[in-house]
Amino acid sequence: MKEKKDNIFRRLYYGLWKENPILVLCLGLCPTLAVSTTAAYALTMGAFTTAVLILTNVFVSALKKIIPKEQRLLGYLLLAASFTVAGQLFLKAYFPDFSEALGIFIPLTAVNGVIYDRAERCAYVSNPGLALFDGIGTGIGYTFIITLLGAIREIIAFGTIFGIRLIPADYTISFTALAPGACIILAFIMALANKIRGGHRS
Amino acid sequence: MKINKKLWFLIIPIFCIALITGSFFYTRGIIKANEAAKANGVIADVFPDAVRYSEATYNKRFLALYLEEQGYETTDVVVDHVVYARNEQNAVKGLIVYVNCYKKFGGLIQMAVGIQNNGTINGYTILDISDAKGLESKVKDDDFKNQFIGKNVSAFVLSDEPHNDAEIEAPNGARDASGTVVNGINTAIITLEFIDESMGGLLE
Repeated sequence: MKEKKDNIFRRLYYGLWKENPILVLCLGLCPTLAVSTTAAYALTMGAFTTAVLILTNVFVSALKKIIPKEQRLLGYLLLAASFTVAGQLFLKAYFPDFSEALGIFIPLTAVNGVIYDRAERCAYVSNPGLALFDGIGTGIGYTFIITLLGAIREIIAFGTIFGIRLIPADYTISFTALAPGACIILAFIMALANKIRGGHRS
Repeated sequence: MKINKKLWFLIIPIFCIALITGSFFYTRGIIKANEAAKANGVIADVFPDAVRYSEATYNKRFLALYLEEQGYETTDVVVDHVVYARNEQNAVKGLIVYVNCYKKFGGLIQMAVGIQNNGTINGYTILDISDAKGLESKVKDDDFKNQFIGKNVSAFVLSDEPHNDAEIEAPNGARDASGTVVNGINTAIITLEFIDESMGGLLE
């Protein structure tokens, strides 16, 4: 069978849907479940992770010729951690409320599995252009799912979405704001995605 | 141009150090300004009608012992520091008590409580809270805060059906956090008593 040529549209499609980091690869679930109590927090976390992911992908790809194969993980770690620290400082400066709200999960982005997976499977073996679009696709896919999860949890737990009240507070179920509720809702989203996809791709 | 791969130990760390250092110096001023604004915002939030503020001096060890006598161990609450809120004549109108409160099932709530000389609660601000993201907003809501503001009681308690000023209704899903906030406010009331006594009734 003729192997399909890797291109930017394929990378975008794979990142957004076919190899979605949360729904298919199940990567980065810790911050996904912990931070997505509201849509705003989830969107901020998704955007931050996307930025770190894109920068790490591009720099790993650009520097792959000088990073030895045996020490490539160390290279990924150095770059991801540096971009995370720099991003955290900018977030603290320009969005202090979100920085405070997201707390420890911002610096934990440095060890998010999504970043290392994309660096290993795409950035290290592709040119910077492909790595860029792979980061964009994967980041948007990650951000979309985490924001969807956050929106559903916020509506059920608080009756609001992005702070706008939809349901009276007396009719909310706080359980979904906690970790078990997050797992259950994510499971439903994954099941729905698998149904649309026509079964899980092993 | 062929690059010696051994140089990667130099190139990438130097790049990372430069990136982090550059980001730090670029954002340092902005972050400091944000923190100062937040500190001023806290004070203005809990005691808006005071014109100047000064740090209170008191014996922290004696205050801790006094709190223990009232039933608040250091594993429950710790008073970090106290600020006098003063009027134009420089007389003390009340206190802003910064309290670290430990939750029953783990976690910490840092809060600042504004309390007038006569024991009336002016308000409080949550400085930091370790709770499920989103749930912590329930103890920051005005609905919960307004149960304390303007009240003068010896101690607040949580109640499912409040019948008087001292009884506070906990929001759904945040009973532990709201109980901790109540502890913090009661600590501020006790701190006012302690400072008033230790200052020989200096407070008006």
